Amino acid sequence: MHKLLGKIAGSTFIVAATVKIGYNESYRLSCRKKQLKALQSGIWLLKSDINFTLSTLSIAFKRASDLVDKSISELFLLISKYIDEGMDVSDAFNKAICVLKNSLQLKDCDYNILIEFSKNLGNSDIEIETQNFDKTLELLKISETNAEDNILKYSKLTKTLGLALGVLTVILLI
Amino acid sequence: MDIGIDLIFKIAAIGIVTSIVNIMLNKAGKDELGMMVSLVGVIIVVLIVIDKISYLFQSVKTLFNL
Repeated sequence: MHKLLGKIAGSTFIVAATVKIGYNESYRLSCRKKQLKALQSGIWLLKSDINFTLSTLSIAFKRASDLVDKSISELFLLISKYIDEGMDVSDAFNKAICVLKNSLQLKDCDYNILIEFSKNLGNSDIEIETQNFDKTLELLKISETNAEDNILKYSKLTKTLGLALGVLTVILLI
Repeated sequence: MDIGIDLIFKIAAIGIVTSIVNIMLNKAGKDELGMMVSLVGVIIVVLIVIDKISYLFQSVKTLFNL
């Protein structure tokens, strides 16, 4: 009787753990979309701040960080801090991305968009800057559509795979 | 050697789980991964029954004095 109860408890733990892993993966997919949306609104805020109030980059990043989602807010704050420390904008972006890469759920292609954006930021006239903002927003929109597709494709898959993996492990162990 | 009904159920369950995973992966457009999963399922089942098959051949040999 005790042996049977032990088996049931063990099986439940294994299945619960794998289901949790599946749900976590699914959650990560939806997080990417959320963060890309926050990034777009952050860049839009930066654009209006720089175009209309002619703020410096550091102040614009700091202001935008107060208004966007927490995960992206940290990125903007770090960039602002590094620019204040005298770093080049591109280096500040690179360093901030390296520091926050583990906590952000973005993909390499999203980081590349940001790095490309940073290369042209703060070293040309307002017209070119506006074009740079528009191009980045467009690319981020495409990334967001891609993230949405991934959610539709893989969200259910990861959940099912988690459950199936747990059941398979239990079957093999019994 | 007793084969038992448990083994048959185990193989059936592995087959069901593998086919579900295969269908899900195919639907998500990961056909190659689906095929790999099917292959892994087959390998697992072969590993489970390999000693039974070996026992069968041994029995046949003994029966016909080969």
